[in-house]
Amino acid sequence: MKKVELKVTLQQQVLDTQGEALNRAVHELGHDEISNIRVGKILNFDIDETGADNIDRIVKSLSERLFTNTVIETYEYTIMDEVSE
Amino acid sequence: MKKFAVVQFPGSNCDRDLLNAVLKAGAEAEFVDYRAASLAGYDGVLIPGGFSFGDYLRSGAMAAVAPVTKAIEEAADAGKPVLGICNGFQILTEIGLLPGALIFNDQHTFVSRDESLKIVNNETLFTRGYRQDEDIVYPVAHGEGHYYCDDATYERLKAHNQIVLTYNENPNGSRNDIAGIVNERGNVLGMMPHPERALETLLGSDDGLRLFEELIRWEANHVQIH
Repeated sequence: MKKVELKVTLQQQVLDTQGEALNRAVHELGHDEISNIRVGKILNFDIDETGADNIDRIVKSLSERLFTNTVIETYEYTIMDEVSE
Repeated sequence: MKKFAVVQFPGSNCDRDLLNAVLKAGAEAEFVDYRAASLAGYDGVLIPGGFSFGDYLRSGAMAAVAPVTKAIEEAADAGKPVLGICNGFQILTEIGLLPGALIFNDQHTFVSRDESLKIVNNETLFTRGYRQDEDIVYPVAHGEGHYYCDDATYERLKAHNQIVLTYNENPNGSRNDIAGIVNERGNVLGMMPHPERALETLLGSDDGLRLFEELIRWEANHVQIH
């Protein structure tokens, strides 16, 4: 059993309205050194597999079928340590 | 008499309006649960607006993997009309029956108002009752109605005359004012505005009625193929 952390973000050319609104709010707080805020999502889950190839196959398949919309989003994931039973 | 399926997902909220629109146009319609495995026996499939599965993850994402999806794809493959309105449009893009995606309105606000629209393709089985370039009014009510697609997809939409409906005053930042598109075959239509809420002049507009009157008259040989 492994833990997986999947990060989903909008592709760079897709307008991120949440990011834009946050940028404005941060600037109103006086932090002009901050720019290009982009908002994404993180999915954490356990997977009852240990082989790296199997994990890659399953996570990629689900990411492209359900977890992300590849027309507008990209994803990356990290396979974390073994889950302690 | 033709009979249409109105698919109900948890969180659909325009389902009754859609059923009523088909009945008012003069055909039969029934609700079909999202867990149904088959849509056999129906002459077309209507996917209503709302917030299916609470818009969890992305609007339309969960509905697009519901059991009924396979049956919707089969109906589309068989050349039957498939109409997705608002959340239904989002679901059709998530399934992949229509290209592109719907993202947050560019002002990140929910827009609810009567919308002036233009029929830019009156050759589809849905829009034959309208004049080319006719201005009409349907209500819109959405937070994620900004139609997004890349340049190559837009060129394909243009080349195959797939853009059916455009906004006269773009409410959401949609690419090239796109409000509704069909697939290349012309039998799957997705649109953000709500024709099912434009059936009575007393309530603002009856411009939507003609869409349903044409829809229920469709015959297989009327399907536009490019």
